[in-house]
Order: sequence, then structure tokens, then C-alpha cells
Amino acid sequence: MRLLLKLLKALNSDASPWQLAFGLTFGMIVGLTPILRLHNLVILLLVLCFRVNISGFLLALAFFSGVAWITDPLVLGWGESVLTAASLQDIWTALYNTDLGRISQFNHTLTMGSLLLGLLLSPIMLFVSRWLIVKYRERFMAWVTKLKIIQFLKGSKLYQLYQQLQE
Amino acid sequence: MKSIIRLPGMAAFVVIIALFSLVSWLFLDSWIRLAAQSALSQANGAEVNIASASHQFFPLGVSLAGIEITDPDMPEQNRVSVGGIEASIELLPLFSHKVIIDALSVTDITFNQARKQAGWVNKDTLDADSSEQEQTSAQTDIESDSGEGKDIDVDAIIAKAPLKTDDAIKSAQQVYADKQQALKSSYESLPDTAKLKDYETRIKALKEVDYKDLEQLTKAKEELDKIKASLKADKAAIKAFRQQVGDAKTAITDAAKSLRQAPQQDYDLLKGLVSGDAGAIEEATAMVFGDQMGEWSQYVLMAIEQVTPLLNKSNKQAEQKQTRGEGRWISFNLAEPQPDFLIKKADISLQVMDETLTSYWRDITHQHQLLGRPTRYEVDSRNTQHWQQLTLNGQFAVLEQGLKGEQRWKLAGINVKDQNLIDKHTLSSSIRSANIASEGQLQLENAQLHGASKIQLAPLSLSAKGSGKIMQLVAKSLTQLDSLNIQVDISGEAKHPSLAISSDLDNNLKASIKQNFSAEKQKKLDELKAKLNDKINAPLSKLGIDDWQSWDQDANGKESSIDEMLTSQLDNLVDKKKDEVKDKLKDKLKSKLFK
Repeated sequence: MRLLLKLLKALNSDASPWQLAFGLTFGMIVGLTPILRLHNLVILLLVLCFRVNISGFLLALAFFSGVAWITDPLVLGWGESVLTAASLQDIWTALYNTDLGRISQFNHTLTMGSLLLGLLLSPIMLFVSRWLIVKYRERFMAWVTKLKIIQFLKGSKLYQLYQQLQE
Repeated sequence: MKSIIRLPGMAAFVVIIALFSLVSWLFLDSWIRLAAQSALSQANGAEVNIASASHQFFPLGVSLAGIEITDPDMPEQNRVSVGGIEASIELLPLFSHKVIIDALSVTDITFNQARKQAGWVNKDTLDADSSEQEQTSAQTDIESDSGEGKDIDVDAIIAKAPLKTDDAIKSAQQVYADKQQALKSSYESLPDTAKLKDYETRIKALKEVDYKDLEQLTKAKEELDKIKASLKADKAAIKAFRQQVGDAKTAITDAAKSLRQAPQQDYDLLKGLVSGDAGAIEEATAMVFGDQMGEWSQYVLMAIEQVTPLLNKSNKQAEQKQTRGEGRWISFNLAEPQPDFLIKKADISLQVMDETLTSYWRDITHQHQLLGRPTRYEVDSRNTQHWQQLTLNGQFAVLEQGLKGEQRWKLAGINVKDQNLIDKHTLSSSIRSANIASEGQLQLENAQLHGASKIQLAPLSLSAKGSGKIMQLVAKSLTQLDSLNIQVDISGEAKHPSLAISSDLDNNLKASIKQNFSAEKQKKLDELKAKLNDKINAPLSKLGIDDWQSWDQDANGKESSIDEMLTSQLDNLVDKKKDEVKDKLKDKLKSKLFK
């Protein structure tokens, strides 16, 4: 609930749409791939060190962790195909023989498949989510703010408390 | 405009990493201990305890202390106890879920030490062993009753033994009862004679009517078709019943065959017990030296007996894990092939007769095919207080076709004094002094052992005391020995090697016993055979299938009469009637046209 409120606030604030879009995109990649991986550590570093929206990141992470239950069986096959492709064996062998390659755990079929899916979807997620945020602010923000459920949420003790904490 | 860099975020990242490291540092030792306990318990099939664990990051290493591995067959004692284990582990392979141990040191291994409290045993392990234990315990009960000095009671032995004949009788009776009930129920549901008579009457009536018009005849044909449909259904039921009778006859024939074979199988098992000590004398060396040989063999066969079953289990677990659909780790070529688990070098020290015996191991893994070389091990210990030479070397590999390996050993100048060999109420014996030398070799193929060893005890001095005629003779022979050459044949599964122990002593004793006791014992054996055969006579006579044959004949008769009824037809009458109608119409037409 707090994350939703935070996201709502960010959506309705003057925060850059790119910040939100990057948060959602990074959250999607981390959510789709196995959590304890080197690339996720790098993404966490980027999310924390750059002005990326953390609420959007965490919400996307939670949502896409659920989506991963559905996509895992599909991406397992992708990972298997990519890692066993004859034409790519030289590249993978060279990478496997480096420390970075071993630490990245690229040779795990689920890691490779899900990272591929995440990377393929990330430009779409980035630009589409930014476009949606801009359109939302232009056309729907005023209407959404007037919705009874939003009024109710804003009037709730939790939101008030949250506002106080923000101030 | 705000900077795109978030400095507090950097601090947060550092704090998160520091916290993660701190938690790992604080709790990692406990996690290692619990994980190792769990993995080893699963591999062992019974409880494994580890007193403490510690780790270091640079270079990466783990130490375990106070490891107790419960014996699944005897949970009150440890199969193996280990003072300490130290391992230095390669970091990078861990990221690919591979455990590569550069050096492993295992110290203070002891066998068969009592546990403070009994360890738990996996249900699967218990189930696998229980039937074997039941058999052994029943056998032991009988053996305790068939000692020398008692008049051997064949009836008592038959009453106490878990006889295959009894099982076969029960099984045959059960098969017969089930089949009898099923057949009776099916037979009663078949059409009875009255029903068949009714069909016959109805068909006859339909055929005898003089049909005036086509409509009446068509109705009669429909009625006949209905009767035929019922007849066909009844015929199908009769056919199914006859098939059921055939199956039941086959089942009862098989059961009777097993029943006839069972007494002979029981006789083979029990004849040793009935012939009493005379039977045991055929294996006098095993009787006297068996326990001690078993204990000594544990040290010689340690590598095969203790390590290979664990490797086999690891292999099976690895295979199972890959089928879970959680992704798999694909390995690419490295300068040095890397199995999922490998101990490159291990020094393992065990305590034998207050001496420390160290074995040196290379390439312990379950993926020898990938590694391209087998696991090798050797022991070389000379000029200790208890032996002059103890050398042992071997190798084994888990290959596609199973576990394969070999081992050779040579022992010399082992001095044994005041060593108890057997202590039973019928016979007790111990080594006063002996100098033991032994050479042997064994092969391991598909987890099955085949090997032999010659053990020379010279000079040898034994003390022995027996009660009863036969055992006194055995004791006398033992005390007269000044040397003995024992042949040990090793076979069976790697986990439970079986030792067949023999020597010239057996043949000498056998000949002398036969001279004195063969007639009396043969009478008892004949009695055993006759009584076992008697057990099956009554049950066999009750497996009568006369009823079934009579039901089958009756069903056959009913099927024939149904077949006959099914041939009844009214079609020709219908056609005839149609032709008559046609002719009448033609006549009318002609008369009108040519009027």
C-alpha cells in the first residue's frame, strides 16, 4: 500500500517521467531474472546511486517476480538454445574462462533466458512506460485525482502519516 | 535542477553490502554446519552430527570438527567418527554450483564407536533393511535353538522358521479364494437355462406364425432382432466368463507351481540348521575367524565400502536435480575439466590399533568420465609397533556402465596377541599369538565386488574350548594348529561386502565329522524334507478346479445354443411376402390394362 501511494505521489508529482520509467524497467529486469545474480547487484547500485524512482523499481520487481512464474518455462528453452548454439560456443567458452564470466553465472539456462527476455523487453518498457506517464499526466491525472477511491486513499490515516513523514 | 547522482543512495548501497557481509560473517559458520549436516545425513541415510564449523574467506576454506556418522544398520553406533576436516575451496566454481576442493585433510577417523544417543535413520533406508533384518533375526532364533547337545527337533525348526512354503500356501489359497469368488459371481450372472428356453420359445413362436401381410411380418422381424440383441449380449458375457475361467486356471497353475517349489527352497535354507554343528563344521574357519576377519576387512575395504556408496548416491542426486526445471548449469571447456564435485587432493588419517594410518587420495569425484581419470588412493605404512608393512593402493571410477574399480593390498608382519575370536557357549577360541601376512586384490564392477585374499597365520598359537562331541573335536583341531592358510573370497555389494572364508581346516574337520555323524544327521534331513512336503499336500488338494471346469462346460453349452438361436431368420419370409405383394399388384395391373 505504501509503495502504491509512493508511486501515485511520484506519478502526480513533477518527478521526471524518465526516473519513473527507468525504475519500472530496472525492476522488471530484476523481477524476471533469478535474484542473486551479479547483474542485479549492478542494477541495485544504479538504482540507488542515480535518481531512479525506487517505488516504481520495487513495485515492478514485485510484479515481475510473479510474472516470472509464467515466463520461466519459456525462457528456460531460450537459455538452453542460446547457450548450446554451436555458433556461439567460442564466445561462451572464452567468457567461461574469465573470472567475470564465472561470477556473472551466465551459463545458467534460466539466468541467460530470463536476462535475454528482460533485455529484449527493457527498451519497450522504458519508452512505453515513459509515454504512458506523460499521457497520464496530460489527460488523466486531474480526473484520477477526483476519483472517490483516490480521495479516500488520500484521506486515509496511512497517507496522512506518510505525508507527515515526508515533510 | 537536481543532479542525477543520488549520493545518499551510494551510502545506502555500501550499508546494504556491509550489512549483508556482517550477517554472513556472523551466521555463516552455523549455516555451513547445518547445510553439511543435512547433506551428509541425506547421503548417509541416517543422522550425521557436526560439533562445530568455521570458515575463512582468504583463501576460502571451511573446517568441521567432531563429525559423527550414524550407522543406518545400527543407529546406536557411528559408522564412522571423524575428529576434524579442513578443506580449502576454490571460489569461482561455486558460482556455477561446483564444489572444487584443492586440499582436504581428514583426521582421527575411527569406526564403530558407540553414540551418546541413537541417531535417526531415514525411513527409506529402514524399509530397505527391515526385511533382511527380519530374516536374520528369525535365523538367529532358530540357530540358538539348534545347538549341539540338544536333540534336534525338526518340528520346532519348521515352526520357528519364516518358511517360503507357508507364504506360498497363503498366496495360493488367497489366489484360489479370490478367483473362486469372482468366477462364482460371474457364473451366477450368466443367463440361466430358463432364460435360454424363453428365448427359444419366443423365436419358435415368431417362426411358426403364418403372416398374412407384410406389416405383421415386419413387426415380427423387429421382435426377432430385439431377441438377437439380447442373445448377443448374453453371448458376450459368456465369452468373458470363459476367458475369466482361462485366466483363473493359469493363475492357479502358477500358484500351485510356486507351492510345489517352496518346500525344496526351505529345505535348502534349513538343512544347515537341522544338521546342526555338523553343518557348521563345513565352514569351521568362517565360524571361528569370521567376526575377526570381518573387522579387519573393514580397514582394508574402507575406501570401497565407505566412499563409493556415497559417490553413487551423489551421482543419483545430481541426476535427479537436473530434472526439476529450475534451469541447469552448462559447463564449457576449461583448461582443466571441472566436475560438479571434486577433491583434488585429500589426506585421510584413521586410527587402527593405536596407530595413525594415513591414506592419500587424488581426484575424488563422481564424474570420472568428465575428469578423464579415476579416483586413486594409496596407503603405505611400514615398521610400526604393530606391523612391518601395510601397503594398499586402488582406484575406482563412476562410469556410464556403473562403478568400476580395483584394489590391491599387502600386509606383512602383523603381530597379534590375546585376540578373542569366538566366544559362544558351544565353542570359544582366541589367538594366543600369531604373525599375520596377507595379500589380496579385488575388482569392483557395477557396484559388485569380486576379489580374493590369502591370509597366512604363521606361527600361530590358538586356545580353544568346546562343549559336546563335535565342538570338542573342533577345539582340539584348533589347539593343534601351528599355522593356518586362510582363503577369503570377497563378493557382494560394495556397501555390504560378503566374505567367504575357508581353509584346509574345513575339509579335515568335515571328513572326520562325516565319519561319525552322517547317518544320524541324514535321518533328520530326510525328516525335514518329508515334513516340508507334507505341509503342501493338503493345500494343494484344495486347489481343485472341478467346479470351474463344470461351469466352463455349462457356459460352453449355453454359447452353442445361443449361436444356434442367432442363426434363426425371418428375412426370407419377408422377401417372400414382398414378392407375393408384387405379384398381386402385377396381376391387378394386367387385368386392368388388358380388360
